[in-house]
Amino acid sequence: MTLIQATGLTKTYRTTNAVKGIDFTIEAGGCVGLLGPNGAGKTTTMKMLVGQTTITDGELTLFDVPVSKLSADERGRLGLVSQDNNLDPDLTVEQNLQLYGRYYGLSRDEVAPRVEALLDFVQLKEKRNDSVRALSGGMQRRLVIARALIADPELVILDEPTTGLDPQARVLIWQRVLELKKQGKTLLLTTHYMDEAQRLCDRIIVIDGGEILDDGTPKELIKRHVPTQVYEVNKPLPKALEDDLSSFEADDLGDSVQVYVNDPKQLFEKLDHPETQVRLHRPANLEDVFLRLTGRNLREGA
Amino acid sequence: MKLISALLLRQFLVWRQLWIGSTLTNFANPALFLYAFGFGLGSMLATVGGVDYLSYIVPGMVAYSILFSANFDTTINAYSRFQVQRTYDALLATPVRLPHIVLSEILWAALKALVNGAGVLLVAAFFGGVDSLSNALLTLPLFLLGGLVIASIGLMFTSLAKGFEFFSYIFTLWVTPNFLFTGVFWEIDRYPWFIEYIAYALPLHHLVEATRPLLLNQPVDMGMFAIHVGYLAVLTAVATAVALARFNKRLFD
Repeated sequence: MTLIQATGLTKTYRTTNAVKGIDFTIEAGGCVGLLGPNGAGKTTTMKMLVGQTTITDGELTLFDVPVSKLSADERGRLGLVSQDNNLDPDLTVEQNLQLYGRYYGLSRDEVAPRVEALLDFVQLKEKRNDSVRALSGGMQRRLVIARALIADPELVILDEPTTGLDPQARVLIWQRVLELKKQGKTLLLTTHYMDEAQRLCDRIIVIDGGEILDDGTPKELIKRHVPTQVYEVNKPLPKALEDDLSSFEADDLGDSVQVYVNDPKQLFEKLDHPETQVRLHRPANLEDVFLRLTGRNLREGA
Repeated sequence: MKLISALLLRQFLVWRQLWIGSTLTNFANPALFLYAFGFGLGSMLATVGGVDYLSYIVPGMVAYSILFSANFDTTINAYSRFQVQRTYDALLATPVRLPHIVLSEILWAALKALVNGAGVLLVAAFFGGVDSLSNALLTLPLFLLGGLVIASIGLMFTSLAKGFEFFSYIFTLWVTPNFLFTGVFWEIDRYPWFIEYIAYALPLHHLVEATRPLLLNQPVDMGMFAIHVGYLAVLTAVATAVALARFNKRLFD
């Protein structure tokens, strides 16, 4: 079943083209990652899906309905874990969930058992009567997740769910996200953490500058874009390697050079003391793919 | 309707935490004015147009409390929900749509203003400034309309505001003239003609003029009454429409 279909999807803010005519389809089940650097168009795409911003051009359907024509019930099949914590700071943890349920048109009696289950799910039972202002960043994020689940949506959109959190809080969020996957929900996640994408996503759409650069499983992307092995060689480089560097895929990291190879022998021929010259060896990962696809330039703003 | 009542419930839950402070300020302020002007200034004036001064300023004082309450809720308070707390963004991720938000903001502010206004009427009655209690009850729907007009105009300002500084202009150029130049304290014909014309444009003038004969137990000129009520209704509709259009642009474009 197709949940989301974008055709020529375009968003133009006053002067900037945030999303430039992208096409993609998302089927029910699993977790799809929308990956890109800051300002790539991830959040804009999410906002168009959720109905927080209008579409400039192209088509975007959710449950086979154009997003601008979604009924209240159809909207209820979608939950958003927003990037900024826009919890209601004037209310308690429990009230935030109760009221959010009411915004989905649920009755008080329908909401009550869900609030209990969700407080349990995100481990915030003891905090139920606390003001939202008193929660840590990780707790607030967990509450945002619980809030998105109040109407039991089949599609959950997570916009950078762990940005700004400490490692413990991130692990907790990941556990919850994996649990949602197990429950059979379809997840659409944006992140710029590659480890997070690799851990959680079954499929990844890489986007930059408002355009889709590639689309596939993490394994496929790695295979398609980078050789399998990565060696970090200390500078100064041995003469043999230095002279022949252009025949390798390599990135200068400052005091070392990262060399990508499928067959290590090819590299080792150029090294006279591999044990001291190679600083690090690892299999290629999504981060390498990401950097190859989106370039090494620093992003300003966004 | 279900969604609007959910939004009103939200406002109610927040209000319930702070109701003592909020009621006290919105209530005590006009009560103090009523006391100070009614007895202070009133003792120097025998009567205004045949009625004692305390009774004369009661409708103005009720209108004043409605002006402050509804304006504050839909300007400073609404703006912080809109821009600081990002409440509107969170709401728009649910089935709640912009018209629900706009209508609930206006409705809530008007209802709260009505409660505050009714409180002032009670205080006035206690001071002996209300001649006919049954007529006072008749003015309540008018004061609700007054709340709606002030609230919708306040929300329109919010939809145009770029920052909190904007609201200090609103206070000086909108709230204060509505309070001072609309016949709250005395007839507007005491002012030069241009101020008189400004007063005709301001909603508080029409609210005071529509309610004063009722509260003073005087004959009501139905033609004028219809003009006052009609003008307030039109203002409400226009301000609501502008607020909707501006928010639509700012939130979705």
